[in-house]
Amino acid sequence: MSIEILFLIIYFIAMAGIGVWAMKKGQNDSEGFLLGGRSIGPGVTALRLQSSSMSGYMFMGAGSMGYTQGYFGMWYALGDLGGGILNLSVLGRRMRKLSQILGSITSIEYLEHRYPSKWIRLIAAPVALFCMFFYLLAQFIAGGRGLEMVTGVSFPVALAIAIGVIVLYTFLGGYLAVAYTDFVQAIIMVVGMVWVLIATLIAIGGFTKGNEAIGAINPNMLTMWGADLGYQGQWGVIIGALLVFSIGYMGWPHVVVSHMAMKKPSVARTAGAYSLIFNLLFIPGPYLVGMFALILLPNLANPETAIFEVADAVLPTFAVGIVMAAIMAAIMSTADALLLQAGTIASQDIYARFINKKMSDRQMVWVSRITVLVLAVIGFAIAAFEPPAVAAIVIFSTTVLGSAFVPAYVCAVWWKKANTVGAISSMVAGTLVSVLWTVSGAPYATGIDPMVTGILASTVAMIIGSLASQKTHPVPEHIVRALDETAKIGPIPAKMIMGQDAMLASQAEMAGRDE
Amino acid sequence: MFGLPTFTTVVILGVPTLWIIYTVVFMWLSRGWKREDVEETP
Amino acid sequence: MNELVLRTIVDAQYAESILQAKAPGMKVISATQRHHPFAGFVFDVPQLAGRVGRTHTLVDYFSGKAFISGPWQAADPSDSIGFKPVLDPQWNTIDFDSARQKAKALLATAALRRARLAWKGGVREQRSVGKVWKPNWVLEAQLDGKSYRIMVDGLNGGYFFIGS
Repeated sequence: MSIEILFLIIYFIAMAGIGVWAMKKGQNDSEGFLLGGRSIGPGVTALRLQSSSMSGYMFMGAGSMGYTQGYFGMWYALGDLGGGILNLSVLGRRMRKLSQILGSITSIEYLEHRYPSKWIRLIAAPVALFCMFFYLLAQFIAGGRGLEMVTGVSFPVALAIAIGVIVLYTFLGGYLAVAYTDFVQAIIMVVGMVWVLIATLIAIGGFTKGNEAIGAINPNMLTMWGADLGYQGQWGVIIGALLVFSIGYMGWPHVVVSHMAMKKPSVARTAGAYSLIFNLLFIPGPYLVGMFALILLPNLANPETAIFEVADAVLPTFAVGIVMAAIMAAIMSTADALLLQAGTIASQDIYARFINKKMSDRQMVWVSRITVLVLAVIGFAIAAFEPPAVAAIVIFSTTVLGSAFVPAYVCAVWWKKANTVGAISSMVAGTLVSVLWTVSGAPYATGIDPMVTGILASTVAMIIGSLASQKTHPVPEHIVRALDETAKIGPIPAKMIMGQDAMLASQAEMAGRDE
Repeated sequence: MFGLPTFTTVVILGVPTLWIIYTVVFMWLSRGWKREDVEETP
Repeated sequence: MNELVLRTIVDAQYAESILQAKAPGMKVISATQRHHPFAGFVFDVPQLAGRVGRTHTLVDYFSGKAFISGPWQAADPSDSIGFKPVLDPQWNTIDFDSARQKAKALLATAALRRARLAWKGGVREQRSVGKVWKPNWVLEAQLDGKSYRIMVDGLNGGYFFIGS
């Protein structure tokens, strides 16, 4: 058995052991158990934004982008850097408050509360599930590839094991979560990535030397225009690359849900600053390591494994074990979070909303479990026979989610006239335009990225749809009041604004209104 | 710099700088708004 | 329909001192107690490793927002002199049965988030209270010559600005 596998196994046994021990040992404190995620601080909020869905893409997609396109891939990284702060500064505070007043639990339920119509959920939930499946696929493939490299077994077998472990993880994750939080995951990801990056830089003789060596292989790689200069002057594509992971973020139902769990407005501010620091440390790494892999391993059969192979080549043996364990752990817990979110959407937003209004909690668990198993089987069937490129599917699904949901989420809190008709037209237009634009090959013909056309279409649809139907479908009175309260609350002394308890928003309104 | 073409250097240093400025401005603005709020009080 | 008035943990003076700790120089002119209506439910929630935890939830009748609360302490009958309910705004109000659904959905979602798919379900309702009245303070206060209205939570001392 290789040392890497040994580390992997020891690592998980240790984590699960701590969890079981803590669970047996702890007092019978139901509240503490259930509230595990309620008072989420700025550190976790910030790190969760990045780590809750990106591991597979970062460890495979970003590396292959660097390996095949050089610095062009940086456009995606550069947009991604600001994704967290943009999301928190635009949506954070207001979305937190409005969801409190409207009493929403899931991020899709929140959309339906803001734009009252069953069609909102009927459209939003399947689109969200469909796109999240692709993120999940990326985790499966990354897990399979990692295991394939570490163990040397064939990819389909490694994939089956990886998916099996991930599904097992969704059952045991509750024990693991005691010791292994999102916070720990994000820290491990940063440390692992920075470690690989530094070892790579040492191996190639430093950043400048590395760039010169890349320039000697193909000088185009050092430009921002791609390996064959194919993107020179293609601003439609470049703007799309910048937008995908910056603005596109605000449309992720599984990411914006964390805004609803923040306890104080101050969290949004501090989390914004933290997320920028985390992103600056973490995001450029995979792209750079992937690119420098060209010097160290010029003949990779599969560019997506660049980061795994580089780690294997430049790190001492024991460190390969630790870093691979970290990467696999990150991939697994990301997959686990995505599966659980998908299960919640399937059970709360589809099953309980449309099929069985009186869903019991046992039924909810079973719907979630079946959803997870079905997704795992479909994921295996697709990935085992013809694994798609991780970068392509993640960018595609982010494009669709961003196009479909960004105007709906942003206008929900910033535009009082945004109504149900506008939101439905926006989600439909965004989804259709971004999908059809991609599928029809229009990006190559026109040089315009689907992210640009998609978000343009959904924004225009939101504006026209809302304005045209103000008479027939006015925003309901209770939403207008809730929005007023979200924006109002009057002037507050500077030193006190941070300490407010948002949980009291609606009670405060009622207490003050009738005197 | 770094053995890179000038444009690449400008972009990979410039865009993060813009994000840092955005963050600083956001932090500063979310402070400034509160002061304004207080002054407008009747 | 059974009712329960929760005991006020944070009294008017304490509420005042909480605000003054944040903003020295704030003068509190008046403090009125207002009671906010919640539907109350007590559930036994299965956890991991065969353990079961008793959980209290409150659901705000006027917003539909469900909370997990600590155990409730009833007020002494003599305390109810200052009892003054807030009025129903009539725009987002929910009934008792929807409140029960909200409370259950909250617990199930929270439990699933923590225990993952190892959670078996089986939340059992132990008790329900039609109206749980939670005390809050509405304070009229002044700072630097400007007046504010601030609500202070009568149970945990959290505060929120109503206006000025």
